[in-house]
Amino acid sequence: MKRTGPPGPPGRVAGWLESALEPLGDVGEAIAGDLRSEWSVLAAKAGARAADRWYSRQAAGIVVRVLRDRWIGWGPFHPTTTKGARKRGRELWSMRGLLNEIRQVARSLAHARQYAIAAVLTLGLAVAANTLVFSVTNSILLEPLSYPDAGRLLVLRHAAPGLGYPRFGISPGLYYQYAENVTAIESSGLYSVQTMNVTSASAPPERVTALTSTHTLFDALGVAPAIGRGFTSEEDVPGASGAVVLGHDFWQSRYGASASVIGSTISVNGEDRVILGVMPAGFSFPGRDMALWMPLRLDLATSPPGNFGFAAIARMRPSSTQTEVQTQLQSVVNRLADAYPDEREFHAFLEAGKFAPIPRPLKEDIVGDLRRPLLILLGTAALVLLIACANVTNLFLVRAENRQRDVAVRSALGAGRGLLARLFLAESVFISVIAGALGLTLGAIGTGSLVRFAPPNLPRIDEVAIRPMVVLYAAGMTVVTAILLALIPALRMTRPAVLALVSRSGSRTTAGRDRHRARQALVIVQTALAVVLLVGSGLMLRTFSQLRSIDPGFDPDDLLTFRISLPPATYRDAAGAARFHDRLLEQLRALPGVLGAGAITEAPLATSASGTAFAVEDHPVGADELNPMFWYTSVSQGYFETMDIPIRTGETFDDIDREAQRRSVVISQSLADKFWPGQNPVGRRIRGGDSNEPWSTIVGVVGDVRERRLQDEPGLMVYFPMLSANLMGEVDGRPASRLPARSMTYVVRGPQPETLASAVRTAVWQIDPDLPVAAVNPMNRIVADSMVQISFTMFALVIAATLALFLGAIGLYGIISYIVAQRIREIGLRIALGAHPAAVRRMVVWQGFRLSVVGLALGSVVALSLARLLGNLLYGTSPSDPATFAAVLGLLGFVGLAATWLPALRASRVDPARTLNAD
Amino acid sequence: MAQDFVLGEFEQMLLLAVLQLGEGAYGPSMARYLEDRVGRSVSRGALYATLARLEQKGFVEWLIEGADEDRGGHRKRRFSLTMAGISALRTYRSALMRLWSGLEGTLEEAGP
Repeated sequence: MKRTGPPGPPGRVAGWLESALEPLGDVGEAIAGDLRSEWSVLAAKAGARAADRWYSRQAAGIVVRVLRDRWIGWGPFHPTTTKGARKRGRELWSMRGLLNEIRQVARSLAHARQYAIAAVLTLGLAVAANTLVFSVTNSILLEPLSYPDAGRLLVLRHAAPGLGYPRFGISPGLYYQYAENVTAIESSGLYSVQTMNVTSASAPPERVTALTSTHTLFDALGVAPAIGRGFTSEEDVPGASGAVVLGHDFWQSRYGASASVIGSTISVNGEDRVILGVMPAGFSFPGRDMALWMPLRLDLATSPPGNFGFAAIARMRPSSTQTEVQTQLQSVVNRLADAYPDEREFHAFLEAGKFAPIPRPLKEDIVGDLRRPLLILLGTAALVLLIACANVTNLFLVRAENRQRDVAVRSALGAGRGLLARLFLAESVFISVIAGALGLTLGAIGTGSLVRFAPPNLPRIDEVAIRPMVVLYAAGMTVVTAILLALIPALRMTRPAVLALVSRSGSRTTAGRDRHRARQALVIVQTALAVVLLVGSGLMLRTFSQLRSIDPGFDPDDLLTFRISLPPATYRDAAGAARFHDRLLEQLRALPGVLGAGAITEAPLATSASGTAFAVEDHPVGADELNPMFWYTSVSQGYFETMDIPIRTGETFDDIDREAQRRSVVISQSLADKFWPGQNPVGRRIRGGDSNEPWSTIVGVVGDVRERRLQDEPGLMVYFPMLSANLMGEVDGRPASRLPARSMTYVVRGPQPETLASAVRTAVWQIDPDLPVAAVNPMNRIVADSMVQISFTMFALVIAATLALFLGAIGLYGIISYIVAQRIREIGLRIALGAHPAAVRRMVVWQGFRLSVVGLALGSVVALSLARLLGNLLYGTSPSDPATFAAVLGLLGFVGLAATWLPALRASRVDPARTLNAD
Repeated sequence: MAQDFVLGEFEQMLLLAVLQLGEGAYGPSMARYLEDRVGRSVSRGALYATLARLEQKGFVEWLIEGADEDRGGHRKRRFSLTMAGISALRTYRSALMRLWSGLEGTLEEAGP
């Protein structure tokens, strides 16, 4: 007899003995223990085999006596005559019985190590994946924002669909109208986010994200500073002296969390401000890493209505609904023309744009974009769990069959249905609990790594953590799988069926055939699920590669970008700013290895771009019509060349002074094609802004650039020349062209852009040592970040699909091996009768192939309907992309064949002599 | 009364073993003790059945003690004689002594 597992008497015999003695309570337990300890002594003295023989003999003797006494109804081994025996009913649920059962389970699993490890690993991985996904989904989608009563917070956005603006912010004037007139709102706040320079004596200059808002914002959010105070209406009027509240993390990093910071001053963009307070830890509105909060200091009543560069939130009254708010907002909008009678362009904008307010709950606004990928993620994780369960169920069924005789004997010894069920339940609980613990641990580790390595612009990613909810979810899954896994074999193991199975007829009985069919069905389901996941990830892979192959309009390789923002206090006028830009560009071009440098107001693939109405001289619009909207920006000399943006017609700003003086502009190709198709637009004139602006002359056309997302078509772009220091002052009584902005993005082309970063900073600090250099990034990284939503979904699906593929292959391998084992006699017979090994292999492979084909067909149908759920995440590929489906089917078909190959090989090598004799 | 102190051969041996082993009177130790001294193997089934009968007659009682490593977590029983058991042994011994008296020489083994 082969010995496996930990030292002890033979497991099966011990099991019978202990089952037989169980009704005798304490006495029975003691006898079983006595025999066990005698086994140890004998094994040490005379070896395990001798001990086994002695033990089996003694155990048989006792079991015989037990059976005899039970038949007589009386005797020293009959429960009623034994002192200390427990009543039959209670023993089912006694603690001692359960612990015993667990020990037995551990022992018997130790004898079947491969099975136990396979089951624990399969389930554990699936639970880990689900825990990870659920903790991410829970923290980002489900958990409410951390503001009090956050469900009542709305973001006040607007749309102007008539002009092609799907979503934008609010203006101070409009905010004022709302605040005065909308009664369904109890409090609100207007804000804008900018990056600003911070200097103080204690630390080097920093560039931070700052929030400027009305003083009402804190009340609306329901948050107050943890230390000190916020700013009041006194600090929020035009001309008030500077005040600021610090963010918690900023306070810790810059001031070492020292409380004496209250009352001291800090210089923000050159203006000194008094520190009034510090916000509580964990608070950062509206995004991450907000360092400062400052009052807007606007006179709202007189603010213009047309400057939509702000954002606003509002808190609904408890008694109001979002629909009420929307209606009231709309009625304010309808009366805007009366509120601002002189703003005629504004009126035209309202009308033509079909301007409408679209308030949205704050959480939806923050999380919105990520909702669909997260739900897809949750779905795929659940699918993987299903597949894992199917696999483990198959394992369970095999194991249940192997224990047929064991179960039959126990049942003959009087174990009722309940006891048998408890046997299976104990084993499935044992495995599920270990798998659950393993899964939860792996899931927690995975969550930690995800938060550390996630792209920073994923909303609320910093709130992702294992919460009690997640542990509950993992525990729930464990319990459900434990019960499911125990049910299936337990249901089939009724007493009569078991006794019938004691004969070795295996799959020829009806019970055997049923089980066989069940296992085949499970494998088909696994294959189908794998198809679904593989198709999903295939489509995302295609989308990803399509996106990556989009030409952004410039060459992002070998390009370093960074942002400079000149504080108004140090650079009071345009001349000072222009001098800085000139000097810096000169320095940058002189750096070793640098092939070119340029600057632009806002780099491509940024999230924002400026647009305004432009008049086109030879395409005048009618009196009631609005001028077309174009994007616009300012660029320095050398920008197009550095970015490698092709010049299609005419020329660019080689001599920027001359061009600025001439009021030249460069336009993008799509703009040229729209208004002058097939013609040369050089020499035509356009005019931005109102009719008081001078006309600009088009001197060149450059290739289109994707300014917003890679997936979005390039817009109609107008490039103005940035004034250089040489040309300040006026032309024709007006400023020559676009004044140099205080904030510019610089682009530097040179090999290995990461290594240029420190040289670039040095160059900046040589000119102005107090100037922070922000957002230093190789252009390639910016391009990658713009695809984060796609890549996130893609990675998730690819991981899930790989798991599914792996598990599906194991499942198929398992069942084919089992089929071969069942039919080993038949195979032996065939070979003995002269069948060629290749024919045997073919037969086995055909078994697997049949299952695969059904699974693939089923999976394809489901995948076709589910792929549509990917919706607008896809780009450049349809949900029913034939190439993807073909690749998936091919891959799975190949894997299926490979999985059946080993069992097929083993089948063809069967030695007929052995199989036909072994009975 | 007469039936009460009738002790079977094996029953007697077990009671004596319990007495001899004192604090260490457990099932395995009693079995090994008897096997050593009697020279033939003891069926554990018979052992425990007999112990159960002795307990039924009131000659023996047991205490449950804690589990050991090699017992697979099962607890053990320590046996001890009751007063009735001791008195039964005494009675039987005096009866045997009376039957044996005068026969010592007859049953001595022949010298080498």
